[in-house]
Amino acid sequence: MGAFKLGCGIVLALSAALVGCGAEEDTPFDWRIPDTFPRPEVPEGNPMTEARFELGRHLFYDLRLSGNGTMACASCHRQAHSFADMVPTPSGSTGDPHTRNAPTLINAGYASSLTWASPLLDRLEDQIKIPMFGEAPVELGISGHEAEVLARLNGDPIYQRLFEDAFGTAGPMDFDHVIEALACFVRTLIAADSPVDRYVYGRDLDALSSAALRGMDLFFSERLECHHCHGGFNFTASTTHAGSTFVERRWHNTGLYNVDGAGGYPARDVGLMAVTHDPADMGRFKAPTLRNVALTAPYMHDGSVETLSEVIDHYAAGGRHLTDGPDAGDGRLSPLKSSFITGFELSEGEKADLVAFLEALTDRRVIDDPRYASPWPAP
Amino acid sequence: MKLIRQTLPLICLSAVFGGCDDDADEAGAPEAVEIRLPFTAVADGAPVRCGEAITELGVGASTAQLRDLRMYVSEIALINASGAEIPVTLSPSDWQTEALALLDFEDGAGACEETGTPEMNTELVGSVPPGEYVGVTFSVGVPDALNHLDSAAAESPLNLGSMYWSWQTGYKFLRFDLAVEETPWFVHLGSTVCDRDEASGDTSCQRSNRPRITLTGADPLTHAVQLDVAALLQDSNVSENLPDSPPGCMSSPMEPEDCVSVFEGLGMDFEAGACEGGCGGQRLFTWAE
Repeated sequence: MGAFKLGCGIVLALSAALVGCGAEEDTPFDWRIPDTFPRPEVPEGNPMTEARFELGRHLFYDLRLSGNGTMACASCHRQAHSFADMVPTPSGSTGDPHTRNAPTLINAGYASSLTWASPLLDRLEDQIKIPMFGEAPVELGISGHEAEVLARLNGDPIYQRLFEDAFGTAGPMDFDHVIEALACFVRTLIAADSPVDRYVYGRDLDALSSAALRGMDLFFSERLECHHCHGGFNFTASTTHAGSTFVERRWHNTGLYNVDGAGGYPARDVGLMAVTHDPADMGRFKAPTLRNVALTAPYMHDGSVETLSEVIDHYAAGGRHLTDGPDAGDGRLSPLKSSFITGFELSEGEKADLVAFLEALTDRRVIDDPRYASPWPAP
Repeated sequence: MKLIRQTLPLICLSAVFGGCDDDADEAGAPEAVEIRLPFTAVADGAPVRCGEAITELGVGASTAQLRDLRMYVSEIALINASGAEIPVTLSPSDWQTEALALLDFEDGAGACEETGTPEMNTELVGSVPPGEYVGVTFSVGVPDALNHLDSAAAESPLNLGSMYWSWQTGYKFLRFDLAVEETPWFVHLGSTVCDRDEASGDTSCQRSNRPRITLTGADPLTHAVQLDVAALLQDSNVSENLPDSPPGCMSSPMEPEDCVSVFEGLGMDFEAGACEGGCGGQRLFTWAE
């Protein structure tokens, strides 16, 4: 036994030295974000490497990663729209309608809770299973087609090469590898260098227009209260990063619906309560990051608000009053509404200023960079 | 790991010298015998298979196609003549770990194509001490310690995406899916109302939803355990679904209209997520004729 172990150790050490596998792991991953910006937390067991990123990018844009070969992650998370969708609620690969808006993946690596409302999901590696295997609704629809999907991917020499580069062994690739590579790719989708960052961190005092500067004051004012839920470097309180000590997770009812006078949301989606079954969680959803928010319309968990201007109207009114239709009700009177949503007066000029500030939270680096685009030839 | 490494050489040695068997005989400890516990699935006496219609189902007397029928069972024991539960040691295979087994009554044909697999498994394989047995007991479900692990990296049969339930980060203990004139109607049983402990990272669920089934009065080695899906759904209407809720009963606390009668069929109280005073009221499992 002893001799065998020793032999193995030497062989392993030698091969590492010869092929240089160790070299890449020793080089810290280049996040391509300003030094002052926090790094995402990377789970043990799935280290960031350029090879895993590249495998993940190929998978992210690959229609073959769906049961019927018609849909990729990128179908609902579009680079040009900051990895969100343009429709209120998308449909899955088999036509199943979703009740929720596809959220931006920008800065998902900093989210202390993933999806619009779940206390259980805090790692991309866990969340990614929902679009892959979920059945209510079906999204990518891999459930029941597992072997077929893996055979499709493993049969492509491109994946054989990418997989070996990423995981250091010959295939076949399994779903845990697929998930880890996708998570590596998504973790790199970071907005960190917007005009607001350049101004605030003093690198460019001309980065913000005077309108955006006035809007920034409004955003951080006690009159508007935006920053309570959308605060911190990631413009959401539900944020964690590599240096975090305490994890904050927050969900809020924003008075978007009140179908029963008691604060109820339409039965198709009651938010956090669907998981916790706590009536106090009715209609509670996560405050999303506001980075790149100008690119991610429509808004809210169900995409029911079309523009930033209308989002501001919603908060100015202290909730939404729907006067007719099946969802009718006065969200302004919801007893479940967050105490920060009390409404405020805002002139048209101030509203334009606030929109200018929100637009200045856009960082187009990963939106325009081909590094984050589809590696596949256009069909 | 440490334990295994230390005990392995001992096992090797005793195997070589043949000492184990003698010791066992002297101590009177009986040798284990291999057993197979067969299961069958029917609807009111007729076999349930992919591609064949199930008729007269539920209060709507609906006609339905099977889409899926799979179930995890754990904590399996035989009941001996004196009423004691003798644990079954499961033989590890693609269908079984030491802790649980997956029973699979679908072959991926017909309407089962969407989520199913060609392979089937309708028996439990393990070992028990020789003896006279008059019953069997088992839990439907994945034990809590295994229920919230990383499914993609888990060992078979816990590595099936179609049996994993991402929204509660656990497994579907039982999935029984129907298509009623193209409209899906599902029974997905699993633990719900789950939360994570921030310090330990462990997930725990308020509603366990694991019925413990006991059948007595027959020799489990020669009598199959029968799942009668028509009995399970006798009080359900599979042609209807609570509006704005997932199709059928997904164990969500939000859909009592779809779930209460299904849970009664499993012997459980829906609100409690457990059997109240035993699961004896269950209708799904009987001895096969």
